[in-house]
Formats: sequence, C-alpha cells, structure tokens
Amino acid sequence: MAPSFFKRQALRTRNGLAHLAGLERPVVARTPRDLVWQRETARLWRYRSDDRSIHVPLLIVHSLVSKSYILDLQPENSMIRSLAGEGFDVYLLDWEPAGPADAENTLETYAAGLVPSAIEATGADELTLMGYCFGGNLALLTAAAGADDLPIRNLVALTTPCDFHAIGFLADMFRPGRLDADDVIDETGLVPAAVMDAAFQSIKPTDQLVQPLNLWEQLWSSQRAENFLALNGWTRDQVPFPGATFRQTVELLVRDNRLAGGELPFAGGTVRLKDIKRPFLNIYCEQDTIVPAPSAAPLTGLVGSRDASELRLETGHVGLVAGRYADEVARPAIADWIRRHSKETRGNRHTARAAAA
Amino acid sequence: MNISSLPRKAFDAVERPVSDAAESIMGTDAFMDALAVAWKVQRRALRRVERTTAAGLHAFGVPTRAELLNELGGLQREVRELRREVEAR
Repeated sequence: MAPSFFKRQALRTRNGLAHLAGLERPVVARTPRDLVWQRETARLWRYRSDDRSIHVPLLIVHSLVSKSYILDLQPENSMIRSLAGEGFDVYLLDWEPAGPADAENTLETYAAGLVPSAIEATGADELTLMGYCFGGNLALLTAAAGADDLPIRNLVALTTPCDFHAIGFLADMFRPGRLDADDVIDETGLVPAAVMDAAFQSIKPTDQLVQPLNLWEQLWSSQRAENFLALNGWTRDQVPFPGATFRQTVELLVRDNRLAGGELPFAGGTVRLKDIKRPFLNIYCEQDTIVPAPSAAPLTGLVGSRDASELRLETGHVGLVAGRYADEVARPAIADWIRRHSKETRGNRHTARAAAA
Repeated sequence: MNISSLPRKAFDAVERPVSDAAESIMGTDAFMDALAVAWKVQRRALRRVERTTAAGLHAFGVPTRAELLNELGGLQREVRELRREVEAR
C-alpha cells in the first residue's frame, strides 16, 4: 500500500537527493555471464545457467543503435535472465561503442564478418539467431548471405525495420533533398551519440517535460525510482553509429527502400531475403514509434521460409523486451515459438540444411 | 482521490494535445524541409568555426582532437588488419 501524501513527499525528497548525489544509480546487466569471444567491437557473451535443457542455443544479435543492457535491465526485468531460466543456452552478441577505427565499417563488416564469426565461435551445430531492432537487420542479412554455410536453425526478428518508407520522421528526414548521411556524420566518421539521442528524442517532442514528472511520481519508492531510472537511463544512453554503415542505411535502406523489395546489394553481389529458408518468426509491435508495425510487418512475406509466422503485439519498441508486458506476454510467446522449433529430432542439422537447399 | 494525481491529470490534459499537435507538425513536409535547412546552416557554421580553430592550432603545430582521434583510429585499423592476416596464416 502506498504511504500517505506527506510521507511520500518526504521519501521523494530523500530519494531525490540520493539520486542527485549519484548514490542510487541503478545497476544493470547483472545476469552472470562470460565473455567467450571478442573481435574488434564485437563481444560474444554466454549466460551462465544450470539448466540448458533446450539443446539448440539461442544467439541474440543486438542493435548497433543502442546498448544491449535493455535485454538484461534488472534481475526481475530481464529478457535474457528469463530465457536462460527457461532452459535456453543464451548467447548475446553486442557491440562496444563504435570509435573512429570503426568509421569505415559497413553492413558487410557486421553481417558478412563479425556476426558469422560469432556464430562460429559458439561452436554450436545449429542455433536460433534472434536480432533486436537493427540487430534484426544484421541477423537477416547474415542468414540470407550465408544461407547454405551457417548453422542457423531458426531466425527470429524482433521489431526489425523492413519498409523504411513506413518508419516516419527519422527516415523521412533523409529523403532526397533533405539531409544527407554526411550532414550528421562528424569529422571522426561517426554519427555522434548526441545526434542519435536528439533524433530519438524528436520522435516524442514533449518527452523531456514528461519524463521528469514521471520520475517525480515514482520517486517516493526507491525500487520504483530505480526501475524508472534504469529504463529511462537506457533510452538516453545512446552510442555513436559507424558512418559508412549509416551511409549505406540512408542510400540503400531509406532512400531506395531495398529491403522492402526483398533484396539489396551486399558484399559485391546481391543478398535476397527469399534465400532465408529456415523457420522464421517476425515479431513487431502495434505501439512501436521507432519501428512502426507497417515497417516491420512486410518481412514475413519476403523471406523464403515455408514456416514463416508473425506475432503482432500490443506494446512498444522497448515494451517488447522490458517491463510487465514483456514479462507476461512477449517473452513467453517468443520462448514458446523457439522452444517448439528447437525440439531435438534425428539429424537436426541435416534437416536444417535440407530445408535451406 | 489521490491529491498528487490532480496536478498530473491537469498536466496530461495539456500535454497530450500539445504533443499530438507537435507530432503532426513534425510530420509535415514543410517542417522537415525547414529542419533540414536549419540543420545544414548550423552544421556549416560549426564547420567554419572548426576550420578556423584547426588553422589556429596548426599554426602552433598542434593537431585538433578529431585529427588525433582519426590518427588513433587509423592505427587501430592497421592493427586489426595485421591481426586478420596473422589469423589467416
């Protein structure tokens, strides 16, 4: 039960002062894990678990746009902890913030280099590859480009943009005649974190007024305040984006909208989504303002999988992976699909390869 | 009724329509065109300041922060390339 009005004000003052003094910073990403492989900015983590009863490992590819701790925000609010607790052998491929050395990294650097290398580093005969947001694009490109060579048994795209003309403001600002990619790339060859932050903030212009009020409302409870600060801190905790990848994103994905057409130039050839023959799950969200549902939905029909399904969920971009809805609806649905598609059969790998043929 | 929820309700009653209106305006071609022009003008002015500052620093033989970072980035790329060559052998 909530304390009285006056008690809450006293608690708000105490917790607010502790917050301002930096004494109550939320600790995030606490699920025990080991760094099992690292190359350049790519890091492959494996989560510790006593129960790895689902024998097909799950490799989550995080976006280049944000930090991965949203997937393991707090112990009671962690997609990764929840999946590991259900018997999945969970790996996470995430990225250290890009620096000037990464400015020339292209989509190929990731989807034809680092992601396949990380898959190999798991040592798995087959795995489920799941990408979140732009990580979904990297997973799709990896799976399409390496269709015959990579041990991908299932592919899951979490709120992954496909039709970039349906994204809205963020993409529309880069239509011909408006901004060019180089207008936001700094002299070190990166899109600065501050520009990324400004871009995301612009989606909800009054957010900077609303969020302090939301914090005030939660501040009487140190636990609620911590939850709020963890989530809200993540939304403002942006990372620089490699300039060369950004140029490709603007030219190929935003202006030419190539992914919506099902293919795009890649590594000197063409990559086609229809070459993805593995079981595929496309998950997108009705209230997503970053990757709106109409942008993500077409993916289901573009892949070549006979077993391609989709989940349209009543939540937002972050609500898919963190918070109560994620815990009660999204995570169980995702886990259920992957579990059903990870059942051991004789010659699983052969089956997966045959499906790709 | 919770006393503290009254000011919040009042705030929301104002904020929601303002937010909706702001989002609709931002979605118009005219706004996005104007924002793009404003961004480019600001960017050009900033570049001019950076070039002037760089020229001043260069006069004393001092590199800019970006030049140092790019130099470091170039070195890191060379190390990565060497590592790849070694691993490939």
